[in-house]
Amino acid sequence: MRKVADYILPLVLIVLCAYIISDTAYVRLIGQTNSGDDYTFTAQESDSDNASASRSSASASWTSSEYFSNVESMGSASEFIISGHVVDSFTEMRGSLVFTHFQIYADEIYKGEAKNGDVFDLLITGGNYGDYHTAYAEDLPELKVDTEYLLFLYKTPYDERYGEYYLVRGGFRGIAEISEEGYIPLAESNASFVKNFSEYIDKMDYSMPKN
Amino acid sequence: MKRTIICLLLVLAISIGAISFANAYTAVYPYSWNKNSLTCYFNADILSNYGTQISNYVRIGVMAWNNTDAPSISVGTLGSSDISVDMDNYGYTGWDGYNNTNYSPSNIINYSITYLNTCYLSGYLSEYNLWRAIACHETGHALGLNHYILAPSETEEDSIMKSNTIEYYNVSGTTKIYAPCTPDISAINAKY
Repeated sequence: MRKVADYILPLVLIVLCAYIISDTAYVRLIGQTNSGDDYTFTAQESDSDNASASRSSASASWTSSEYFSNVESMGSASEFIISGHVVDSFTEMRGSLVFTHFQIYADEIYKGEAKNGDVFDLLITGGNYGDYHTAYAEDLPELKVDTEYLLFLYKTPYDERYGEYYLVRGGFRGIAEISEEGYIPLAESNASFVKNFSEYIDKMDYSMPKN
Repeated sequence: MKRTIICLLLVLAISIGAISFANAYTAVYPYSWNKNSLTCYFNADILSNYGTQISNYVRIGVMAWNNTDAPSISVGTLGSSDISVDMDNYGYTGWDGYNNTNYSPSNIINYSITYLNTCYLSGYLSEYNLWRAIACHETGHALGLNHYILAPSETEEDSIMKSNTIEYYNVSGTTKIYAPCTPDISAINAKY
C-alpha cells in the first residue's frame, strides 16, 4: 500500500503543478481578455438577427500628448481633479464614429477652479446614436450612472466644429471608480497606475485649499 | 517519501523558473479571423484629402503584418472588404488611432474598422512613417492583438502594440517603430 502511495502522490503533484504552469501560460497568452465586454454591435447592420448574434470589442491607441509615466506628472498636467458621478449623457457623431458626452456632477474638487456641484462635460469615444454603435475601448469603458469616479481632467482647446469639453488625462489613465475599498481601475491595464491614486489624493487633500 | 519530496522540489523549481523567466508580452484578444486571406478597403478620402504619400504609407503599415503568420491582407473594395481604414480629423478625442472589431459569439472576427485621427498630429502629416506606424498598430488590433504588457520588474522590448503612440513612434525622439516587433510577431504567430 505504501509503495502505491509512493508512486501516486508524486504523480498527483506533477499533474497539479503541470496544470498550474499551463494555466499561467494560458493567462499570459490570453492577457487582457475582454471579459464582460458584451456590447451588441448594431452599426450599419440592417439585419437585426445578425446584429444581436454578434458582439464587438474596441481597442484604442492614445495620442502621444497623453502619455504620463506616473501619477504625479499626470496630476500636474490636469486642470481638474475631481470626484463625481454621471447625471446625464448625450451622443454625437463624427464621421461614422459615435461619441458620448457624460455630464459629471462634481461631488468634490481636489484641484482646479471649480466648486462642488459644477457639471463637467466629459467626452468618451463609444456609444449609440440612432442605428449607429461604436464600442467603448476596453481601457475606457462606458461610465455607469450612480457610480462615483475619481477623474483627472483637462479642457480641450475650442474646436469650431465640436466646441470645447473635457477629456480624461492620460487617455484612460486618469480615471478610477470609487468604492468603499478604495479606487478601482476600470481596466486591468490601469491597475498599476490606480494603486497610487490614494496616496496622491491624500497628499492633495492636506496640501491644497478646498473649494 | 524521499521520492515524493524530490519530485515536489523538482516540480516547484520548474514552476518558479517558468514564472520568473516570463517576459513582457503582447497580449491577445480571444477572437481571430478564420480565413487565410483578408481584404482591406482604404477610404478614398485618404488619398483625396491627404495625398499619395500618406495613402501609400498607411497601406504599407497595414500590409506589414503580411510578414507574419497572420492572414494575408490585400487591397479590397468598398462594401466587400474584411477590414476598412478611415482617416479624418475627429477632433480632440484622446487618441490617434481607434479600432472597432466585430466578432461572433464563437470569437470569429466578422469585420474590423480602423480610424486614424489627424487632430493631434496635424503638424506631422509629412512624417509618413508615423501614419504607417499607427496604421500598423491598429491593424494589430484588427487581427486580434491587444496591447503590449510590461510588468514593473520586466525588461522592456520594442513593440508596435504599446498603448501610446509616443511609445512606439516618437516624432521628436529616436524611437521610430513602424512594423511588428518580436513580441508582436510571437503573439500573432501563436494565434494563427
